[in-house]
Amino acid sequence: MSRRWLLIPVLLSLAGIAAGMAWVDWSKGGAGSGLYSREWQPDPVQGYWDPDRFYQPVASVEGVFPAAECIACHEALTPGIVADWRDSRHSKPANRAPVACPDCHGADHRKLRMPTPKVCAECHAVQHEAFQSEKQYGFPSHVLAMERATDSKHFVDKPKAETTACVQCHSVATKCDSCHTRHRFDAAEARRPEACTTCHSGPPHPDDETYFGSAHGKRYLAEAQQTDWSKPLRKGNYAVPTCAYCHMRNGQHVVADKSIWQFGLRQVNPNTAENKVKRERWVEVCTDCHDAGFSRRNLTEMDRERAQAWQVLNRTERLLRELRSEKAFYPAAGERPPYPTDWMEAWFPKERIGFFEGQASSFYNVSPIERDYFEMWYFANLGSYKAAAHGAPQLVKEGHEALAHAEKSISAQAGALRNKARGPRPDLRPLWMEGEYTMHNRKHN
Amino acid sequence: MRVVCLFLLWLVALPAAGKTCVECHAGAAERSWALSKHGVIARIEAGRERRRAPDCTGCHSVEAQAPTATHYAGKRSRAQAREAATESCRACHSPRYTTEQNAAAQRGLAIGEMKQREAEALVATARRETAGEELARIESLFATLRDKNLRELRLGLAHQSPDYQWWLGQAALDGSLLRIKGTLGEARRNRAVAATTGK
Repeated sequence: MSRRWLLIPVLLSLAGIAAGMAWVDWSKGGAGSGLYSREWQPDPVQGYWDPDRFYQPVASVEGVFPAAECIACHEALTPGIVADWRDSRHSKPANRAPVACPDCHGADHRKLRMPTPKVCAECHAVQHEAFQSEKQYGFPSHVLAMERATDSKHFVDKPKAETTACVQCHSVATKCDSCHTRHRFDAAEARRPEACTTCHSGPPHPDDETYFGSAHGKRYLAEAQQTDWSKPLRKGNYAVPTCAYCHMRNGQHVVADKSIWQFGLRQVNPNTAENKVKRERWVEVCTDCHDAGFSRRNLTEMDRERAQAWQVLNRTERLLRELRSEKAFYPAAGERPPYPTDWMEAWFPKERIGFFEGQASSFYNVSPIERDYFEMWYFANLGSYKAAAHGAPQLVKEGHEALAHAEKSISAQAGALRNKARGPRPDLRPLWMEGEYTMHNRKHN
Repeated sequence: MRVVCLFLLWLVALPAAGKTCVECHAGAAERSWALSKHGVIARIEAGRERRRAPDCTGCHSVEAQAPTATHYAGKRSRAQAREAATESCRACHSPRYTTEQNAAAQRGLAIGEMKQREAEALVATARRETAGEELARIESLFATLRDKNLRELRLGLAHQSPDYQWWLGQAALDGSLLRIKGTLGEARRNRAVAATTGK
């Protein structure tokens, strides 16, 4: 008798799981893509960034063409890409027929496709398999980058004309020419650090500045023109490491295997069993040139930098949480626009403080002190981390000065907010809820 | 006579000959190009005979390939300059691609300009309501929004740099806009406080 009662919660849980899976499946069936695909329409240009899902062939030219005819027309129409292709290995591979236009785009001009990683995988299976294998590591990884973008609430919420900027970089998951630009597709190009900087630059991930500011980067700049970049990324082939040399061991198309998840964004313990294994993989890379002890000491130095940064960040986060419990934010979460996708927030407005509360989306429609913390955490903190990881001590110093300066400024603002918290509180809703862009954003995403 | 003429011509051309665009257009204009895929390719492949990707003159000087004759862009309307620059895109990109990318850039810029107009309206309100330090701060935030954030968005869109479009463009515009709102709100509260304490 009692066993039969046990069945009820089991069956209910199973039904719940099935309903959840059905809901996720349903939510991915909209006009957009990802978890919130029913909430947004793609911008027309999205087809170029996520061709598998959004590219529409053009119907203006009719006919099925062999390569020679494609080349004959496009030599006149778009001579640059034909010349690129002629310079590429695709046009003159050893021991096989050239890989020409129809092999990647199809031959029927009204059904042309923009090549996706799956298309490249027809020949480059090893690279594609390695690239796909990144899924096992979760974020951050190249292969999951597009999902990372489209599953973010701020991506869904903001006008698509604005978030086109996001998918340009996050398309590293959906096209191969982010690193091997068309129509040359040169491995040598992707071995150069500049190839990564279109995306790995700017306030939250100044990988370019921190690498070029390191001893490695300075030597690269001095020697790049005299280096033969056609050699594989193996020990002994290069005098100075580049992004791909360290992050893509032996040229493998995997950047996520050594990365410690969210090492810059959260306070992560570098000494868990798993992280120790990853650390040893890093040391193995460094020992291509350096002594293992030297490498470990440098990585320990980075741990010290992280601990220092988190002392400052934790103090500031604690202060902001105190302000929230004292209801001192002005405007508070309920007095400014919520995300349309976030129904919970419409009922229970709450300021997002810290990684687990969605700090990454707290850069718009928040009060100035919250934006200041966003910039402290996302710009100054990540800049310091990148500088420490890439070995640019001057930039570590500057990053920590920026953290200290931000803490001081946030503390001063917090003091002022506290002093005024008990006094009069003019209604800020018209100021924050209205305005041309704010109202446009509420209706359009 | 011919020798003298040539010598004079040489003298006139001398200051321009050694100059590169970057000497005047350093900073955001250069960097937004350098970080784009065009800039990356042009930098990596500098010195090669065939140019795969455009540098400044590749787009801004269609009619005159000589670097000294590039300054026509500023004397035209933005639309004319864009059309002229788009000519050079077509050496590699299809007409549909350039049209779509241009249209997407226009839409992105329209959003940025919407943020600017929202901020402008707030500045007008601030000029009526406030004065002194609070107004000066709002004016200075607006100057950053218009002269830095919106400019960098425009450069990011024109040069196809995602970083300039997003973190230095749209997200930076958001930051300046919310700080203007924050300062204006604080000014209102300060006046309310002053009214209750009878100052």
